[in-house]
Amino acid sequence: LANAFTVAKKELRDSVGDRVFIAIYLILLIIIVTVAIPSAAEQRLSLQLQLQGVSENDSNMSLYDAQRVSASLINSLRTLIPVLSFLCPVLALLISFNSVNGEIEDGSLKVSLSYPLYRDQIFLGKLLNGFFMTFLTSFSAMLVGFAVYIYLSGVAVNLDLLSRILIIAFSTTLYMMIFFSLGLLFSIYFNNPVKSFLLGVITWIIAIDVYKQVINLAAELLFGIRIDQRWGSEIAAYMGYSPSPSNKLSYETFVNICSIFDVNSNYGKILENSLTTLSVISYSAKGFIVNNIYVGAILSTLYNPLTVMLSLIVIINLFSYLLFIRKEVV
Amino acid sequence: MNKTLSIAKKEFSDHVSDSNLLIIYVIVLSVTLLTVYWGGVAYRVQSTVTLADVSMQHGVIDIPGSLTDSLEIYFVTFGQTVFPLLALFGLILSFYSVNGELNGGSLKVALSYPLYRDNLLFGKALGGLLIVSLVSFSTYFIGFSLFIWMTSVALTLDLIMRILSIIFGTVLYTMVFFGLGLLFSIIFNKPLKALTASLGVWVAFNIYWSIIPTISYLLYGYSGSNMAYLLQELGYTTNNSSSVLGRFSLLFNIQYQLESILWNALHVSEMRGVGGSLPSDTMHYYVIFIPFEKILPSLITPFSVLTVFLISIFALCYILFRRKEIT
Repeated sequence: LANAFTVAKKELRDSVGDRVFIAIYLILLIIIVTVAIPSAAEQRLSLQLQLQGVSENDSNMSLYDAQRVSASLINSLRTLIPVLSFLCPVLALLISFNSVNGEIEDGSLKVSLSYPLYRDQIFLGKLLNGFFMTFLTSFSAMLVGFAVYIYLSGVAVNLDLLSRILIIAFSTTLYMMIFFSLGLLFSIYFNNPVKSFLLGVITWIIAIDVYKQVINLAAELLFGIRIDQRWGSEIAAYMGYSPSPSNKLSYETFVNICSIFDVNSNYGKILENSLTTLSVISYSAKGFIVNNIYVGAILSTLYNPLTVMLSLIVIINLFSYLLFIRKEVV
Repeated sequence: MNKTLSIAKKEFSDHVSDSNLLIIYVIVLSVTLLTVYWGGVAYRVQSTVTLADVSMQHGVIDIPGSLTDSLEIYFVTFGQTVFPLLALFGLILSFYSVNGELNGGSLKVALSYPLYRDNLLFGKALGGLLIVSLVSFSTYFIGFSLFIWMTSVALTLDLIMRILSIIFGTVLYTMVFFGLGLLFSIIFNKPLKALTASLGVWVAFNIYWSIIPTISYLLYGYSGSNMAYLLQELGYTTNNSSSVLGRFSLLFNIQYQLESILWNALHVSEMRGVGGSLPSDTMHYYVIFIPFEKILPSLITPFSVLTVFLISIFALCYILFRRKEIT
C-alpha cells in the first residue's frame, strides 16, 4: 500500500499543478460564489417574509406562490443544481483523461514499471489520487460557496445545515468520481489522449442530456403512453384519453428502472432533497402550514441514488483494472 | 481560387473520413430523430384537439396559445438538445486543423509550394463550410422528413423557405464554433490544448447565464421574478430594469440566437381570443396563419449577431495565421 500512496502523491502533485485544471476549478469556484450572492439575498428576503408571517396568513396568496417564496433552501439555491451537474464532470474528466495514455506516450509508465512496482499499485495510486482530488475540489468549493451564502443570508448554522452541506459535498465527490473513473477507463483503452478526452466529453453529454430522452422514447414505444411531456398530459386529459392502469404502471416501472442508471438525475435528486428544508401545505381559508423537514427525514430518500452512484464507480473501476492489467505498455 | 478549392477538397475528404466526427454525427442524428419523434407525437395529439373544437369554454385549458398548428413548440426540445451537439461538432472539426498539420510537418511542405497562406486558410474555412452545410442539411432533411411523415403537415413553399432559413442559421452557428476551434488551433501548437480551450469556450457559452442574476442583483438590487415577488410582498417597489439586462445578455448567447431563428421561423400560426370579458362569457378562439414574409423582420437580429460573431472570429484567425511562425 505504501507504493500506491507514493504513486498517489506523485499523481496528486501532477494534477494540482495542471494549469487547465486550476483554470476550470477557479471558474467553478467563481460561479459557485457568484450564484451564492443573489441566492443569499433571496433567502434573506424569504426569512424576512417568514418572520412577518405573511405567507402563513395571506389568504390571497396561492399555494404555488407560498411554496416558491418559502424559506426552504431549495428555492434560493435551485440555480446551483444545473451548474454543479454541468461543470463537475468536466473537472473530473480533466484529471483523468490522459492519466495512463499520457504516461505511455511520454514513456514514464514504462520507466515506472521497471521499478519494483506492481500494476495494481499504480492503478490504486491513480484511483486514490482521483478520490483525493474530487474530494478536495468538491469540499473546498462547497465550503467557500456555503460560507458566502450563510454569511450573506443570515441562515442559522446548526448541525442540520452542516449535515446537509456534508451530504452535498459527499455526493458531489461521488458524482465526480464516476466521471473520473470513465476518464481513467478511456485513458487505458485508447492510446491517444485526444481520443480519450473526446470520448469522455461525448459520454458526459450523453449522461447529462441524451440518456433521459432515450429512456422516455423507449418507454413510449413499448407502452404507448405519454405522461410527463409538458402539455401532453393536459391535452390528453382534455381529450378524455386515459391510459389503462396496467400500461401506466408498466410505463412508470420501466422509466424508474432505467432512471436508476441516470447519473445526472440521481445527483440532481440528492441535491434537491438535501436542500428541501421546508414544506408548505394549504390550511383551509386561514393560509398555509409551514413544516420543517429535518435532515433525518431525507436520509431514506438518498439511499438509492447514493448506492447507484457507488455501484457505478465500483463497476467502472473493476473494468478499468482488468484492462490495465492486460494493457500492453510499449 | 483553384488552389483554395483544391485545399477545400482535401480538407473535406479528410473530415469525411474522420471517425471522431462520424461518432458525433451519428449522435446528432439519433438525438434529432428522438426529439423530432416526440414533437411529432405531441403535434398529432394536439392537432386533434384543434380540429375537434377550436372555440372552447374559457378556462378549460390553461395554455390555449399552444393549441394551434404552429410548429415552434414541437421543436423546443430539439433545439435545446441538438444545438449544443452541433457546436461541439464544429469545434471538433477544427481544433487540430492547423496545429495538427504543423506537428505532422505537412503545413511546412504545403507552404513550400506556390501557395499563399490566404489560400490555405480560406481553403480550410471552405472545407469546413462544406462539411458543416452537409451535416446541417442532412440533419434537418431527416428530421423534417420524419416530422412531416408523422404529422401530415403540408409541404408548401412557405414551409420550405422556413426550413431553409433554419438550415442557414444552423450553418452560421456551427461555423462560429468551427471558427473558434480554428482560432485555438492557430494559437496553440498542441491539439490537446486547442481542444481543451475550445471545450472551455463551449462550456462558458453554456454556463455564462448563471452569473447574470448576480449582475442584475448588483445593479438593480434584485434578480429574477421570485425575488421581485418577495420584495413586493414585503412592500418594496421594483421596476423591470433587470429584464433589460437579461435581454442584453441574450445578445451574446449564440445558442439563443439560433433558437430564436428556429422559434420565429416555425411560428406558423397564432390563436387569438375574442369575447370572455366576464368569467361567465364564452371565449371564442380563432387561428390566424402567419406567412413567411411576416416573420422575416424577427430573423434580422439573430442572423446579424451570428454573422458579426463569425466575421470577427475569422478576421482574428486570418490575422493570427498570417503572423504564425511555422517551423
